[in-house]
Amino acid sequence: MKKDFNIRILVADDHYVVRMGVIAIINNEPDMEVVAEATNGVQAIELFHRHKPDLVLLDSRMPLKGGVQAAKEIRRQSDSARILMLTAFDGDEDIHKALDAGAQGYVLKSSTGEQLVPALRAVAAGENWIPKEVAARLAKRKEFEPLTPRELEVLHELAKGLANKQIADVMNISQHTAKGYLKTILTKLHVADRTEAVTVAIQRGLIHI
Amino acid sequence: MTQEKKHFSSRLALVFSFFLLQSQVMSAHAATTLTNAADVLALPAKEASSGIPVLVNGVVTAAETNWNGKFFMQDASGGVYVDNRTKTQPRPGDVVEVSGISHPGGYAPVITKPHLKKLGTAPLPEAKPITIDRLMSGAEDSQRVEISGIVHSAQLSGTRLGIELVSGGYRVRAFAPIPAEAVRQSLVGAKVRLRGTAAAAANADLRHFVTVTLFIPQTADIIIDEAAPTNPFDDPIMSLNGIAQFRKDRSPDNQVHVKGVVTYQRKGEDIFLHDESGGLQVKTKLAWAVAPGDAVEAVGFPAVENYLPVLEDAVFRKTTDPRVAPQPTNVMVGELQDGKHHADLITLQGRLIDRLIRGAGQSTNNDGIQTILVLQTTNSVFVAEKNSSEENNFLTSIPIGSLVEVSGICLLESGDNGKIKSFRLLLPTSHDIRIVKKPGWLTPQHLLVSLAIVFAVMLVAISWTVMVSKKNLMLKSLVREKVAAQDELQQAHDQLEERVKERTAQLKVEMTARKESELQFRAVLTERTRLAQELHDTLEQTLTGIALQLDLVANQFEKKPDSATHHLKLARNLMRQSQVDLHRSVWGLRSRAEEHFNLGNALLTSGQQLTDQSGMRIEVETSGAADSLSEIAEENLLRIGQEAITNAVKHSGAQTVKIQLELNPKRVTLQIKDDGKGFVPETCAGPKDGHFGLLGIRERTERLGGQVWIASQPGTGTSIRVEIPIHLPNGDQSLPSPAEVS
Repeated sequence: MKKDFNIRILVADDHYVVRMGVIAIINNEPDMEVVAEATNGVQAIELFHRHKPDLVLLDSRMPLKGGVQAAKEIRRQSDSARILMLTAFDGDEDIHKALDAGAQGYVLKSSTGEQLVPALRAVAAGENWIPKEVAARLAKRKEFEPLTPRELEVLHELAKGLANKQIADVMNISQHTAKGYLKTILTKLHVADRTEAVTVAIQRGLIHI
Repeated sequence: MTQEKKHFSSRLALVFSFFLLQSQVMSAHAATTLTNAADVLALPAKEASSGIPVLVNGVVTAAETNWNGKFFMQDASGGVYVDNRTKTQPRPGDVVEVSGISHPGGYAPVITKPHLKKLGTAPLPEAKPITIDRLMSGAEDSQRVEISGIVHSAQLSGTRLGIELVSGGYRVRAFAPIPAEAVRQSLVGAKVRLRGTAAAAANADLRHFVTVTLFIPQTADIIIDEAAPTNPFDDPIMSLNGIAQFRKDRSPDNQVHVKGVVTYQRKGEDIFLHDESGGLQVKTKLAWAVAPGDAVEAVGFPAVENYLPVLEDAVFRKTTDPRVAPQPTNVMVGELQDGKHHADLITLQGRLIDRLIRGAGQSTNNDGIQTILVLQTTNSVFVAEKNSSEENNFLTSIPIGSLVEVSGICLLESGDNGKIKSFRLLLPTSHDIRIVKKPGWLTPQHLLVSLAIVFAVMLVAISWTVMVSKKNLMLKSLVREKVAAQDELQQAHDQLEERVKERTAQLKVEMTARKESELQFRAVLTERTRLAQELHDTLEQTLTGIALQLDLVANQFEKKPDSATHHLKLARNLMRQSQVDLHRSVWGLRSRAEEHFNLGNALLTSGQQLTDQSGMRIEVETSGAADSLSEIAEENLLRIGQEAITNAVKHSGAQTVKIQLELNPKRVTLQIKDDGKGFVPETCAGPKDGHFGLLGIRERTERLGGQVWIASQPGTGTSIRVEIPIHLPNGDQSLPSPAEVS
């Protein structure tokens, strides 16, 4: 059954249950229809080109290519593309990256019930959808000094559970330098130890597991 | 002669002036007037000095024109000297009355402050003949006397004739008016009598007699008793050596004629002659120069002076003989000690041991400088003298200690026994000395210098030794200090080592603690990561799915009851799934805590748990090493295995479930195979029907980048094969890079 003036939507999520739920919700709306569904970022980009949907609903994290990267590429090829991020991650860095990649809206999976449909409608209408809890998260980001790429690298190694010496070996730097980076990282993340640093980094979306 | 006269005159002047001084003091004295000369002379000096008035008459016996008025007079009692200053010079033969006062004079008392009155002239009084030795005793001072002797010399001296009269070993000097030439020529060698006034020369301070000079007032007072022999130059020539030898007719009054070659001349004093017989000193006042080598004849009176022959009062003349340079005779010192070679030109060797240089003032005979070399021969010391007008550089330059050869006139000095006491050499020229050998190194000067050097060296050596020993001491103490320091250092080192050991042990403990904390960190992180991922991938998604289904239910509850029921059912299934997932995650959490997780064992354990009540058999086959498998991969593979087993238990009715785990460096393959009833995949109930088992397997495999094959046909059982690549050898699969995520 075709509806007129439908909002044609591409849904990309690697979790079937979520995808199934989202599709059911969308299809339940009279003016929306899911034109394609993708289980990873690569597929999402391909399906975007094929279907030219009015809106892309992207999960931020998917196999092969994440939602943020896919959004970036889609936006690069079509700057009129409307993208709504649907994600379980509420880290300020995640939000920042997603919006930075060109997404106009950001919906947390924990708040789909009230927000998903209005968000889809708003983004499809050319508006931004930044719910207040997301905005609050984003605001918090300013409190932190941004990490340099090198520091992020150290943070990644740290998250693998590596000790300073191992980090130094992997990164081809001296142990002393590695220690220095760690110190800076602890300062920038406002934490006291490495375990906390990794936790905060994951929470904020600086790194992903 | 000239010299002697001068000497005499000055002495006389001294005496006279002394008189004058004394007379002024005594002028006031008054006493009995003395009236004859003898009384005056008889006065003791003390009385004479009291200025006793004198009034005498007498004949002037001597008044030389250059005496300025002073004169000798004589009366019947004797002669006396009158210190006349009136400038009235009386003449010998004048009869004068003299009034004056007595004065002690320089030797014999005299009359001073005289008033002269010439009374006339008279013949000179008779001269008293006396022996020459009496005259020379000074006793006849102021008296007119007559002496006799041989004239040795008669030479003009100004307006006077100076005569040397020799008698009885005495030599008297007399001054006379110049007689006729013939007389004068015949005087030398003649035996004569001389009449005149004896004038004593004295040392006025001591009133000591020195000598007497005879003043002859007239030529008539020279009486030749025996004329001189014929011209002695006509006599045969006597050898120089012969003059002191015995001759039968030998007389001291006779001149001898000698001839020889001049070896040396001291002008106005002597010449030295040499002939084959030897040498001779010829004393002569003739000052004309002869050169060494000139042949001369000389006549003179042979004499013995200091026990050695000499020709006195000689005259000489050059002969026509050719000049022959005198050759010095090489002699031995012994010959000299035998009295040989006196006054001869000889050559001697000696070592110069000293040198004296006397200025002109010190030289009695010669102007200029006398250089005296003191020389040493084997057993005696002698001097060599050289007179020169100026300092002789050559002589002064001869180093002391040199062996030199000197040629000169040998002058011996003999004792009364004829033994030679010493000798000296007169050097005619400075060429007469030749250095035979420069002094050996060991001259006194050198010795001194060497001693000084040796001393200096010793001093240096001693100071050096002292310094070295001091340094040694210092070094020793330094070494001691160093040893002590080393000991301390060693101790410190030992302590340090101990501390290092302690510290190492401490560090070991600390490092172990750190390692433990690191391990803990890693474990915590790993577990947290695993759990977070697991919850994200399962529970969170499922809950999202449930929420979405319930939203739909809420939307469709009134309009589409059937659809709502369907979604409600789905939500319920999802919830059941969530329960399972949660359980498994927690189970995984627990299993993870074990240190040595093994996927094969974990599959077996969980399979046994799942099949526990069904009676189904589980077989697990593992091949390859599971080291390179990441924790996430292990986790997911375990979940896949569990899901597959669950499906088999629920739906297949199989007897056996075979699990095969194949691990190799590039991929891991997990196959779960049952021998159940199987199914048709196309018609099989899927997630839309609320069955999420196979979906979970698919999604997990996809997330790991792997593939899944599900093969099943009714009646043949089901086979699920999962292949997962091992991308990163370092096991980085658990934490995808930021690029992958974003």
